[in-house]
Amino acid sequence: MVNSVVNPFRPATLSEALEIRRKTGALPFAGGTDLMVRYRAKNGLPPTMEGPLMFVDSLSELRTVRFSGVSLDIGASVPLAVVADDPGERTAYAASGIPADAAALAAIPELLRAASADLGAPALRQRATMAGNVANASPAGDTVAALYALDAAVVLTSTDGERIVPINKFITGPGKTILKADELITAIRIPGPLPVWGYWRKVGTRRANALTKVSAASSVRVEAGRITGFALAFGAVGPIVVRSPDAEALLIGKSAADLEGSGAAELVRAVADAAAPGITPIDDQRSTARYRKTVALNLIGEVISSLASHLKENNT
Amino acid sequence: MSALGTTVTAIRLTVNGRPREVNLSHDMRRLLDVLRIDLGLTGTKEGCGEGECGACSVLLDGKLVNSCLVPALQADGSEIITPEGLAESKAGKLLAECFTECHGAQCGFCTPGMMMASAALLRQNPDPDEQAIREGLAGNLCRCTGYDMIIDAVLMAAGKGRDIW
Repeated sequence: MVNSVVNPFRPATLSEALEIRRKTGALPFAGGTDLMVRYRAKNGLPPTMEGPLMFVDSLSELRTVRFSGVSLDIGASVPLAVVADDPGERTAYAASGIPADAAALAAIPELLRAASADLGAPALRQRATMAGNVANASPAGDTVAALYALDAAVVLTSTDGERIVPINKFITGPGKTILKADELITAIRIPGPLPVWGYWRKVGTRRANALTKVSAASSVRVEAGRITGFALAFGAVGPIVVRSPDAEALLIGKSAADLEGSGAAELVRAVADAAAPGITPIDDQRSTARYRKTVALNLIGEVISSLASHLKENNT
Repeated sequence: MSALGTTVTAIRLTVNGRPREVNLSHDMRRLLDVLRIDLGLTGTKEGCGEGECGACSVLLDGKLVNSCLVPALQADGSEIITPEGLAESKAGKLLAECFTECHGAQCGFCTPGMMMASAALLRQNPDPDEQAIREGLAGNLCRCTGYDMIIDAVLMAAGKGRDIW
């Protein structure tokens, strides 16, 4: 036998899973869409991973979507097809008896829906999860860039209890997180108030199943016609997803009028100048540093013009 | 049995309506290999083996999945429809007819996966426009047709099928 026996644990409840995780440190395996590729063997053969491994895809505690009225918790094993709102998926999910009501599903920010819909393809999204995307900690992870722009947090649970860690503290480098050997990601939390508007753009070689060359995510809060919160995140332009606080600050207090006309071009330039030092991509098999940086900075113009149209349409 | 989990090497699947029991030779054996090798259902193809080409698409409890990425153990207790099962249904027969009529198959390697994805799409959306079809089939690669003839086939099937999905 070429492959060793993995004997994956198949816990039936979260508490059983946490116990297994504490005793064995077994690698959590939800949809496996990253792990099965990372450990892929030759055609016809099982993957080369060695245990211990634990399936968490069917744990009902991790399949809930809950909206408190303020913040939104998306369970770690909720398929991305549901987050992406693929045809029929949310209706079926809400009707399946899992605590994920239509109101909670409707609260999923458009930015996150759009980023999820750009990840993989329909079949992949049936198995892939957002928590898996976060645990994989790739700077090119599509939901990861969106979650940075949403100031999301990761809910980590062990037999000792729960801790909530902001995503930018959870991910420390490419493929690196602070997940402890006895912890499981149980949910991704989007803090409220949820943004009124979001921007998402992924640049890849193919519309589906493509790894991202560069992505931009933005989320905005508006009060009385003025921008009160503005987040701008870029994926695949550094070892981790990059937020641009100096650039973000330039949008605070602005109204629709400020984002149009001759002032707008100047604003776009200023935002790009402020964001530029943080954008430090590399050359790799998918793209070049020069292309990535140029595209990332060009996308700032699109973020601001789309935001201007949104503000005008909504008369805010 | 171990102290913490249950050691399982035998799984039960309902494949194309037929109950099957499979003893897994390795507990991370892929659903794709169980279907093709253990059960001899070679309509499901292995293309890329990485979830990018869709040639291994099957329905798992009614949902389209890449069987190259699903450990068979995770499918224990599930219902699987493979291209062989689809081919026996009204939906599969109509899809085959429309793919033939529109020249939606050339070398044929992607065709079973294309039809599985088409069937999954039409179950959710029996009246898709071109855009919806392109999105539904986005995970399936074809290196022969250039896709347009496949899109035509699905549009034709949608027009003729209505309530059979």
